Amino acid sequence: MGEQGFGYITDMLVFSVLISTAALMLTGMAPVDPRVDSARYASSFAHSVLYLLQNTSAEQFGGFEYKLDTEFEPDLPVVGDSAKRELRYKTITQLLAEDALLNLHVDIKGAEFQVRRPNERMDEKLRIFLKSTLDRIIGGRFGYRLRARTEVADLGSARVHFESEVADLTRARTQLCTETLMLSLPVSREELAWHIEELTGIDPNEAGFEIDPILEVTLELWSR
Amino acid sequence: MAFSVGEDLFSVLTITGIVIIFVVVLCHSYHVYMERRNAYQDFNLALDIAERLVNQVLAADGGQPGVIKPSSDRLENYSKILALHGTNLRVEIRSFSGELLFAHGIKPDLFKEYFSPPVSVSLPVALFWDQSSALPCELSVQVWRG
Amino acid sequence: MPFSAAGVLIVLLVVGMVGQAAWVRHQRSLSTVDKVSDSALLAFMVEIRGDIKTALKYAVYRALWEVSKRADDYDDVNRMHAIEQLATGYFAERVTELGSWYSKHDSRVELDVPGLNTWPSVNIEEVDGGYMLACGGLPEGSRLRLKSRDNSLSVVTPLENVVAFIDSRYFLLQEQMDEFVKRRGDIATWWGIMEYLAAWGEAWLKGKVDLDDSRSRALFETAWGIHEFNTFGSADYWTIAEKLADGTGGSSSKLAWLKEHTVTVTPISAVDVDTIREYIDLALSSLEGAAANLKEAKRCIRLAEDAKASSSENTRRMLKNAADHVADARDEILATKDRFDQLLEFVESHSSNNVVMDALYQSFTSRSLSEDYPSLKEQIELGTKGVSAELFRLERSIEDLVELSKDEAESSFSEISAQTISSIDLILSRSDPERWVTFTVYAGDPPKPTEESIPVYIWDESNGTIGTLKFVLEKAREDLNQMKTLSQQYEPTSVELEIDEELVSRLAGNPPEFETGREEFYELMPPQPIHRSPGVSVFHDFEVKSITYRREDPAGWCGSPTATPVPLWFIGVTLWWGQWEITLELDQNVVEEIFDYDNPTLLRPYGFGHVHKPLAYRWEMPDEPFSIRVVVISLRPFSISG
Repeated sequence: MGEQGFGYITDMLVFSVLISTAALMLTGMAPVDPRVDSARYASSFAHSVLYLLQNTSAEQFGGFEYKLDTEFEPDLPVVGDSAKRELRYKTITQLLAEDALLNLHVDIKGAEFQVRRPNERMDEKLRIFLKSTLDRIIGGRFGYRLRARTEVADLGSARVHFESEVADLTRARTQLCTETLMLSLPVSREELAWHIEELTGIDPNEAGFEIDPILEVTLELWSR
Repeated sequence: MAFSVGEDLFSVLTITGIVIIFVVVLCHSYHVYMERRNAYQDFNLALDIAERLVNQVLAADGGQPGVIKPSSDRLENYSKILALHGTNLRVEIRSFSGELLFAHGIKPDLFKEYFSPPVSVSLPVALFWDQSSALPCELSVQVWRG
Repeated sequence: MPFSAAGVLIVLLVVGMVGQAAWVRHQRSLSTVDKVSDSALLAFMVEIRGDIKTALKYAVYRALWEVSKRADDYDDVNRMHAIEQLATGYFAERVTELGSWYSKHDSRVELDVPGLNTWPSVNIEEVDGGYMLACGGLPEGSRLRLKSRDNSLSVVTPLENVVAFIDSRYFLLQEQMDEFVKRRGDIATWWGIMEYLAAWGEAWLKGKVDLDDSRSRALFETAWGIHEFNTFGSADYWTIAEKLADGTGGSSSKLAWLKEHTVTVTPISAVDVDTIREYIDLALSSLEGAAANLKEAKRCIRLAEDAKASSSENTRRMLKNAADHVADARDEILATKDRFDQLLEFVESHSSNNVVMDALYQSFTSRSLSEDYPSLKEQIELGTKGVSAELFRLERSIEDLVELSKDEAESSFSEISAQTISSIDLILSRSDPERWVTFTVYAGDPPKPTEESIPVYIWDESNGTIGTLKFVLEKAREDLNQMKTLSQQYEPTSVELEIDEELVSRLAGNPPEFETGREEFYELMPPQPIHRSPGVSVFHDFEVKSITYRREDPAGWCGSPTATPVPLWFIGVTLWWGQWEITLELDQNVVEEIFDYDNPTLLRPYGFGHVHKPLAYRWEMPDEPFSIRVVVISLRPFSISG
């Protein structure tokens, strides 16, 4: 083989290397960013879940009920199912907003102040109910975390807020989206101020604190 | 330039073969790229259609999204618009227990060659039942071209 | 190097493609982010509309509570109007408030709602199950303005009507309360039945009816509970049980018979008087048969007398016929006795489980009216025995005539045949009473006790004639008719009190002790309804102010503690008639309240927070007195005290 032959072969080899590079570049080239598309689907899915929570009643997910805790007032006799509260027709977001109002947390000097109240069991029962509802709706397609929280009302010596969370993040990898729903607490601002005053002994209006009676419900979806 | 029969010819054939293989690989890569692009485009199209169905076409409460109310007429009109663009549509609404509550459009033939294969997107929806209740369901949209 | 050059060109081409793809991808990502952002805005809009819908729910909840708590202030139409008006006001307030809340919480949201005065009225309609659907409108020009986070996109959407399902069964409660109020006369009916049953039992079994204030209260409470139960499927059983169990002179023991769930009494009218009358009719037809035979015997004797001169054979044949007829008449008399015995057997066989029949049996068989007045059984036995003896003697006389017809002794034959015919006439005739017994009866207006003499027709065998027996039996039949008519006129035809077993068991239970106000307690812890459907809890609150009893039977007018006797001589029965009116007055503020137990959905302030309460529908009843009339007719004497 002469010099020309070597040159020719070299030309071919260079050509092959360049073609390989081009092929590799093409192979690695993604037409779209899959994370963005997943995030879009997740976002759309999350909105649909929030619509569903806002529009379907608890009855559609097996019904929701809890029992009033009557220990807070020992004089109350409980007979039969009188203390049962079956809230079949309330929407799930309505239950969340009511739970937030009925179970506001009070922190005094950083520690949670235990207030005995009749609706204590609603909080726990609702978390269980929400978990099973979300498991049913999302059905393992995503990991999720649903948070409901109000702004913290900082009244100086006491802080009043509500926070509740249900999540299933087993095998969750990356967070795809966070969608938020605004819900108003089911009382007027005056009633809420009175409610907080009854809980803490501090009048928020006198303390110069403006209450924000909005409950933010945030749904995060995670890839699996 | 002169070729000598024997080694040179063998080298040329070998190199030509390699070049062809690499060109084929290059073409295949391009094909894969195009397929992926089409698949993403189809998925996005299906998602767009699903969102449009939920938010506009089937929205129950005075055209406002949130709750859907299945209507064959509205779906038929919408399907016709899509068909003008060569897109086929099948819509199914199933309860969470899997019961088929509503279906519209023909099912895609799995053995038939379409211009693009069927792509499916599903979203949870609240199905208008009566004024007092909405059923939680799953809306499934299948889209294909050809 | 042509291939290398081509390769470089291809690589450059691919690099270009990659660059272009990256650019496209970037653009697509941006577009996707925009889409997500758009749909987030749309979602925001939907969610705020949903929140406005929920605001409508709470406005209607509040209006419902406030109006239903004083439901009796309105008629059905005005009540609905009041709910709609109040709900409109609360909805307007709340939506206006929401606007400022949203803006403060998130500056991207603006809710523009014109002034409070221009709000269209909330419209409410009934849906299945007694629930309601509320349609709330916002004033014209109301709009929701939303901006994307980067202010690149702004959406303005008009806000129109929202429709919300209200999960409180206002219409069901309204309908049920209307029914309760409309048919509150049923309380008096049930109370009257129970008073009658209690009095009937005491009159027949104890011979003394106590007009007991505490028992009447307890019975009235129970009647109220029965009416509640029949209307609502439940009753305020805790309150009733408490009132039955409290120190009102052992009311609970007086209501012990309630535990048997079903109490049945048989008024006289329902007793089988007709069957008794049929036996008397059979006895009377036997007497008729005896009378016909005797008349035939008389005719044969006369024929024999006529034939005496011409043919002794004919005479004997006629006399033989006459003897046969007398024998037949005797058989009929024995049959009369048998029919009467069958009547007694029938009455006796029913007397073991029926006090009325037992009393009738005693009256028929013993001297219950007076020691001097023989019972019907004695009269029939004496009468039939006397008539049988006479007929036997008559047979002997006819046999004597047969003997005389052989001797051809004309004068003796005529004399004996005349005596025989006269004996037959005597047996057929009705004897006049020769003995009289004196009784006290109530007569006149106003009635006064007066002495009255009553004849005794059969007091020994010698008074027994077919005519007298027939008269006594006919009069006995008339007395039975009168007894039945009197009972039918005043007493209930048949009284059966069947109280639901579950209600009875609840009334017998131990009610809880209420430290707090009972009404407040029920609002919070409504008692479980007795029946699952319609799922309504019941509360009532009333106090009995006074109970008055007024005797209305003649003896009662005269101030006598005993019931008024109405003697029925021929059957030996005295009907004891007691009649009185009971008037019960309630204190003011009689409250009937029902709760939608199945839907404890309304958030109401309680203690230092809120609790879920069921919708209450409260009705203050007019303080009209309840009045009933009790009539007891017994075959046994009884007194009425109180």
